[in-house]
Amino acid sequence: LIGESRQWLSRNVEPACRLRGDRADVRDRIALGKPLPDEVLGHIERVLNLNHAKWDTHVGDGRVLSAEPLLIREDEWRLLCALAETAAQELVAAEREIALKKDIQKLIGLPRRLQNLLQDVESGSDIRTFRFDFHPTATGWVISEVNSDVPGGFGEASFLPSLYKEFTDATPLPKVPLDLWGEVMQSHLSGGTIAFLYAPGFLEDEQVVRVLARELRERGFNTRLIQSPFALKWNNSCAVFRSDRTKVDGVVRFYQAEWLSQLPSWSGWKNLFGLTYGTHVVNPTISAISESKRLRLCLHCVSTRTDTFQLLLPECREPSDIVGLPKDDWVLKATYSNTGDDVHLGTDISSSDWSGLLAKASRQREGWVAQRRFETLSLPSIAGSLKPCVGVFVIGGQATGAYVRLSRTQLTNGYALEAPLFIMKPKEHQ
Amino acid sequence: MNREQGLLIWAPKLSPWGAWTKPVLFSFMSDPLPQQVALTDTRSKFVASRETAILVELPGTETVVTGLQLASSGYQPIPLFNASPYALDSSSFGTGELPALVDVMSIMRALERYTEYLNSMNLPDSAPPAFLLDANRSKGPLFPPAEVFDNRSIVRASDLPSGELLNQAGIRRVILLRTTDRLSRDLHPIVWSWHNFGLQIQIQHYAEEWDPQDYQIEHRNMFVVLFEKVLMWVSFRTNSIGSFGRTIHSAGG
Repeated sequence: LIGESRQWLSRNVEPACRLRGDRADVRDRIALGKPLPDEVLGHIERVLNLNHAKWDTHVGDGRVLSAEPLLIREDEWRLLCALAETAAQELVAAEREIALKKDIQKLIGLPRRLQNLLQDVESGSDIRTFRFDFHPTATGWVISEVNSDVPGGFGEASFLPSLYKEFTDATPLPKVPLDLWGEVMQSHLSGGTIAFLYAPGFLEDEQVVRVLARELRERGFNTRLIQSPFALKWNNSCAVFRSDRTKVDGVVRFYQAEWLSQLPSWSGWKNLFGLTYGTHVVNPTISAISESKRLRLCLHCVSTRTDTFQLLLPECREPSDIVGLPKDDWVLKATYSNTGDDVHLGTDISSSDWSGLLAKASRQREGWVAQRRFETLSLPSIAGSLKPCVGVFVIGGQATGAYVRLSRTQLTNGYALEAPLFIMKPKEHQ
Repeated sequence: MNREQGLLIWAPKLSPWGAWTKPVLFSFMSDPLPQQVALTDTRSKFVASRETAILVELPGTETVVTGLQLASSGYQPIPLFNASPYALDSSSFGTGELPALVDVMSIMRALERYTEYLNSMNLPDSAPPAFLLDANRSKGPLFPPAEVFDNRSIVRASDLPSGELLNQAGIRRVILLRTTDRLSRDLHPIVWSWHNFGLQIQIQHYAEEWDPQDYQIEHRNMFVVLFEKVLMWVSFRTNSIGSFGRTIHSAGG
């Protein structure tokens, strides 16, 4: 567990002090940069639409591309990277322990059909991607959640900085997530044919897999998009395409683990989660453990140290434990809250709706978690006050780039603006 | 003419409706665009009104052709085709490609070929919108065979302007131009929300004389809504804004 990041953290900062103490206010360490002219933004939008498979730049009644980039001080960015890398190491270790403990799997709400499969998984794939969603608050950085099963935002985190670069004098981050992901994949799979699996009808997911597939094609791989595990036929842990029997060297699973587990058995979804020798599967089943929003409730039951992750994530409780407490202090989240419909802020709903929801969550204990509400700091912007969410990627153990969203509300959802992240120039620190 | 210029003709910068044009198909188009053709059947039986938006929902290329006929009546066609025509990207399209479940390719080719024709109409920025949807967008078996590219799609509220925005822009009436009375599952809540906002909803049957009639949106009972939600959930799950996919996870505290 004691990796480079942990050493960096202990050398440079006292995490508890930085996160909760007197240096906690990050207001002077992040800011929005100069806005791009509308004409330029329109051009960038069309480049994204036409060349980078980014098709959802207009959602509802407005454009979701921010005219202003997010700027962060270099030392603050290094802090976020170190925190994310350390938390990722902790989660990988915790997952391995929990994979052997069925009682904890039940507690965190892991779908039953996946629990049985985890018994067979030894360590999972080395190719892991996490995205930690950091929010600046008056008491330092807080993460609302970690996306570890099928995290998205690669394209936005990779293309926006390069497209905004010529219009800002701030410094881009050294490496973008797409490059690192490609390098890590290439180092594990020397070549061959890779299948990209995603759920049909999900254009946002298709956007992500098209970007990832292109990255691998440019590195010499053959790629195919598939929308069902039935497209693969397995024999002795090796897969071929059912359509033409071409050998499949790797499967990039961009299909939520808990959704796959709901498919009929004949679709062959279980093959993706067993031990695969000839066909590498990314991400592995085990990632569904850290994807569970209830994980925090059970970390005291494991021997693995998860100090950093626990320090970053707000207090979590069983829904039944917050009955009678002020609703404005709490958020109810579904265990696998893939849709914002399943994230409910007490401040945003009426008392009667809250009571009904809390009763439901208390009954379906394994399906929900209560998380203490925090308030994200607002940044002044030409679009009004915006609350940043900095989704830091950790790929193969290394932090790289961020998927930045700027939200008008406390809840960051699909209406949030998307922005690139740059390092502030020293003069901008003042 | 290149793809970007083509996109700007179907999504004019100065039109209040251009931003709703879905760019997916434009990203798969040839660059430069192929040889342009003019529409042969230019008869227009439609009557334009600045206070009226039209929602065209016809199968395949019929929607595009109807959109162009509407353009000759003064409407700005806004393509809402939100699906990929094939699984590979345009640079590697060719061998080994699986057939698509929904024929989006012919729609894309029609958009490509008629771009210059649309441009030649010099529609004013104030032209009212004609939103174009493919009636076949979500058709297909629940579990398609492995040998196809499953490119089905659905339309959601976030894919169209809200009732509030339509109203602000001076739109008071929406005409549904289609072949059947019954609204598709995904379209019903959108039209219902427009109706609830006070917009007049009318229907015009395709292939009939222009005479839009008031449309009574059936209020479906709870069990039907629940059943349809389950069906849609099985086939197409949605994200926090009711749009496609769910990779933009909500994060809140």
